[in-house]
Amino acid sequence: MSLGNDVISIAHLKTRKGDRNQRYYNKTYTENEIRLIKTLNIQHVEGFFWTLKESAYKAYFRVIPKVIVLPKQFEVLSFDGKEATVKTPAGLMYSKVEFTEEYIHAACSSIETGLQRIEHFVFECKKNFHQQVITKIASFNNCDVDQVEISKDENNVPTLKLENQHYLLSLSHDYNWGSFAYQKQSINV
Amino acid sequence: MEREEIKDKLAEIIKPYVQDMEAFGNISEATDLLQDLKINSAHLIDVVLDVEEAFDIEIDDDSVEKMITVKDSVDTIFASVDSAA
Repeated sequence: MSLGNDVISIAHLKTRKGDRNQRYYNKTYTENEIRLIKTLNIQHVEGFFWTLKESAYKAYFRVIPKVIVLPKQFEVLSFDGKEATVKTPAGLMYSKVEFTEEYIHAACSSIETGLQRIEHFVFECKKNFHQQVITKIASFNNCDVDQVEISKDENNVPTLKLENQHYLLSLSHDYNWGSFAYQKQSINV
Repeated sequence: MEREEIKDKLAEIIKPYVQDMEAFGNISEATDLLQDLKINSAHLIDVVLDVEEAFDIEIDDDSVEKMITVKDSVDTIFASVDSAA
């Protein structure tokens, strides 16, 4: 199983107009996505699509650490405002989103039932992002912060070590919002 | 347009998006836009749009995929400028 998550600050969403917006759409979305977007009556729809693509990219990258620049390679096949499926070069990702007036967050799993096995959290974060992640995970698991470690491999992909067990972990930080997602089932390393 | 000129103009275009100014100060052709300059991936398409406007070129999807390092980006722009000339 793989997982990914992404958070974006709504206040910092970029506004594009006219020709630039059209060119942005052409480079970011497939024709099917553009058709899907037109059917959705969602404010900040580009923000939703970005978090869905970016979280799917992180899940993909964990499995195949190859940098992909073009967002179209991560195609949102379906989205009802809460759940989505995203097609990636490594297969489908199953996603759910949550949002407030201030942020949009997406978490995804490579397994359809995998979302039930993911713990995720969004928090306001102005500094010491990793330390805040560690503190919150320790709190979730009723353990000391010394029992929580975050490591990254040569591709900068994070792993959580919690009470001597290892877990898949995804991190995201955008302006004053941070988020993480980790699988509740430990992995072998 | 010469490669060095393209590289200098590219540096000015990407500067507003760079989150690691120390790496930007040491920019070279090997510099990775995402890993070294810490440009947020959410801004990469805007970088491409800015490049298109600045050089009056169009960068197709296959070429966008190649724009990972400064060298790759300069190569892409050079090829587009050259074909447009």
